[in-house]
Amino acid sequence: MSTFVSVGNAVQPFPRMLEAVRKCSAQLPHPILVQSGSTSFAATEMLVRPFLSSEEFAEAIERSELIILHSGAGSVIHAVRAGKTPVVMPRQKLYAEHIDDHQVEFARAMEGAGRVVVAFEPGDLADAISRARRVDAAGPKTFKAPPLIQLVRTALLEVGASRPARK
Amino acid sequence: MNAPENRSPAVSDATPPPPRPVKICIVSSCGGHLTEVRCLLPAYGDLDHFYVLNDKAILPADMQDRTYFVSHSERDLKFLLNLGEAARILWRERPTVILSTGAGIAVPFALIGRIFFRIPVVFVETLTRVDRPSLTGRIMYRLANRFFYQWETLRSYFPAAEHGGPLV
Repeated sequence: MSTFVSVGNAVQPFPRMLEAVRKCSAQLPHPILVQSGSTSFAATEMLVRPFLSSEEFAEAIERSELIILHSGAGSVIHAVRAGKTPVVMPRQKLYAEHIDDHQVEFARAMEGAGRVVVAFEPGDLADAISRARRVDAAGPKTFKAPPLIQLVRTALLEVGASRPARK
Repeated sequence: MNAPENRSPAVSDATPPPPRPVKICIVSSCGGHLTEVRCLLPAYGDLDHFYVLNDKAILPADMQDRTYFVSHSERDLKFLLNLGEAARILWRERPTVILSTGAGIAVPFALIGRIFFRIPVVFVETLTRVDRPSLTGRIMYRLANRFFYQWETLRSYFPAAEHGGPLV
């Protein structure tokens, strides 16, 4: 019963998300662990750590009831593969949170695929949290191996084994 | 003299030649791209493979003694350095196929691999690109022997490639 919040390891700060989390912290399951990255952030009601090892990150994902992430591929993939439905807030170019808006694109597509719930702006966060908790309350999801794995394996064996003899 | 290589199609259909040992060179930048290519581990984990990364990273146990580190280029002159590093590593390891999901570090390895070593390339466009391809994806579409994209929305950019569906 806890909350894990992560803005990833990008060099740009992302205070918009962490301040939004602070605003609804009373609604979140405690304890709250925040991986704050390059964002300067302090809170008495949360445990704040700039960076976590990959083991600590995986463990935090695994044991947390609620997960709030920036919409980076690494973070989101870990959560989805652990069978969780994270709330994601995409970093936006407009606020100098990333070099472009690919996190917005990615968040929309993953929401369309039913894997995440998106909060684009701080005002959307409380509602997104309730929706994500409803999804996960319906029971744990099982992660199925995607067809892409078999396609790539077949491709590797086909082209990797048909290489012309070395000259 | 080179008869074993020149079997008629009918014969080779009936008795496929013994498979050459496959050795995979996995090229990746750190962060999300590495997470993605590691999701593909079930596709290559049992085959001979090694990694090339363009930043130091804390590695899981299975990567520790099979990873090369090269310079991190951001579309700058270090690209030339990467070409040299690619030549050195591919010469030494002689992989039979290169696999990557990006980012830019895939390009020098694909170029040197295809041109000088005739090594085929399998590329997967990153999960994070949905509406428009990445620059690396557009370049690798020209260089890769097999190209997969993960979102249907990219079909018009990669008409000759394969839609693989998302990795998660």
